[in-house]
Amino acid sequence: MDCQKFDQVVMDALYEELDELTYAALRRHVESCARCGEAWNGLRATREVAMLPLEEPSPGLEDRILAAVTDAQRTTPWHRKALRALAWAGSHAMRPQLAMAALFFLVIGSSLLLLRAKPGTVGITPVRVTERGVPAPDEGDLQAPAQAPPPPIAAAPMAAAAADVAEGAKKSKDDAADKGAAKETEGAGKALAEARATRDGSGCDASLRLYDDIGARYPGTPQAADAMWEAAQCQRSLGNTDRARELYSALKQSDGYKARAEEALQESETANQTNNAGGGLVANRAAAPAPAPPPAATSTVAAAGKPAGKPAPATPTAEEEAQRAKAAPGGGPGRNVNAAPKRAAEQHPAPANAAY
Amino acid sequence: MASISREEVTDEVLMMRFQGGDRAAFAGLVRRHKTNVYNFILRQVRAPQIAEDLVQDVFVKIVQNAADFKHEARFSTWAYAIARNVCIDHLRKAALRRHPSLDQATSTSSGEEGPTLAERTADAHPTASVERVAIGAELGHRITHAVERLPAEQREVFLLREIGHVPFKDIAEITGVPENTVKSRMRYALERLQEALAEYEDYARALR
Repeated sequence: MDCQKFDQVVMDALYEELDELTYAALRRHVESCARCGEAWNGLRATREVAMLPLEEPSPGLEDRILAAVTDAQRTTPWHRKALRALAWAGSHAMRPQLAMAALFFLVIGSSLLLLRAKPGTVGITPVRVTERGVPAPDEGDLQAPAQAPPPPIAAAPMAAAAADVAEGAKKSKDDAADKGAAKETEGAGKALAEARATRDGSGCDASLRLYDDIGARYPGTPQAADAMWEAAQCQRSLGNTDRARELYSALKQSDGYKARAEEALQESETANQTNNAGGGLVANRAAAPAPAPPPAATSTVAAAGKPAGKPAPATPTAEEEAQRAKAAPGGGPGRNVNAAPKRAAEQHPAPANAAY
Repeated sequence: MASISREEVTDEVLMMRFQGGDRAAFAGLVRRHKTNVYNFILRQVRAPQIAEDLVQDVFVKIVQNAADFKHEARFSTWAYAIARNVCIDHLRKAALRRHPSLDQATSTSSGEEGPTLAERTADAHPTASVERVAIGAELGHRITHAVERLPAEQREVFLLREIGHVPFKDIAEITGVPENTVKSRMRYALERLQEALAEYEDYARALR
């Protein structure tokens, strides 16, 4: 230890605030250093001698202090009480358990917020894809086209009634739908007329595609039902009983044709059974005159179709037969025997239909 | 015997008990510290009556600020910080009221003969300095006088260390000056006292 170090630690040594090792070094230094030894001895003597005498306060001081303290506690100002409560709350808030709990809720809460407000997702609705593969922008827009088709059903026979049925809240939308329905009805009518013209001109076979087209383009319209009925008649006249029955079944869904379709179905059914009972040859023979009666009895349109329609059945029937023969597992004439009565049965109900 | 068992309980434990509502614990703290706090204040204000009032203020403040006391701190350090502030407030107010300065007696008096106001008031208590029986009453008066004449910052450090038994580190904290400065002030104070007591050294040595 040198004199500079002695000056730094001499007070600590004097008041017993120095560690033993440094104190021992100081003692060695003061023994060897005259200047520091003198200073040390002088200070130590002063500290020992110059002990400040303590005066006793008056005996009543303690009681006065305690009385004053009691008084002060009773009349603690409200702001001091508030501060004390705050300090108490603060001291509790800083406890580890509460701090951990607070941190836990903070983390969970903030992560929930982040989950909800993930960047790039706000304000973007999920893309909906329809059957056609065209993205539908909104659910509301999705409903609009869905609502549009129903009016056309009622539009043709009773457009006014359809307008009444339409809800007032979506009047403008419905107006637009009505206009669309009117257009559709018009188009369906035109298409139907065209199909009829084709049937009259080129025969049932050529018109079938047009009838199908009407059904596909204007589904649900009365024209479509008309087209379907006429197509069914055509199919029957062509000998495609299965297809005709399919169409009748479908027509059962349409109000205007329900009864007629059911009747036609039943007739075809009974005819089928009769033919089955009749035997192949009879049925085969009956197949020839069968196509004749329907045009004779049917309406003018049907009658007009007869001359053109008559040669047509021959070819498709032959083709059909060939196809069936090919498709049949046996492939032999025995199979054809079975196929023949069926065809006869298909064609047979025609007169019954003509009565209608 | 009872006093010994009470001494075993530290100030901090008593303070904790008081914070828990134990008023007896606070009475113990008052009993333990009132004399030293009184002397700490008395050597600065030099008026026993004022000193007693200020001691009362100090303990009231201790109660009012009990919630602020942190148990990692020493109670005496905290209490003397409050006492120091009470003293400073009083001296500032006294100076503003243009009361006759307590230091004026020595500064205006020629030499050491003129007794200070403190000395005059201290004389009213003939029972003073009974603990240090080894040192005569005369020496006691000389020491007190010398301490009262110390520069305020040196006297403050001296009183905190000698009466309050506050470590130098804590004195630095209370007074807001570096620890080395505190030690320097303490050394200057002791050297001044040494000078003042030079003529009594032989007397004191004889007493030892």
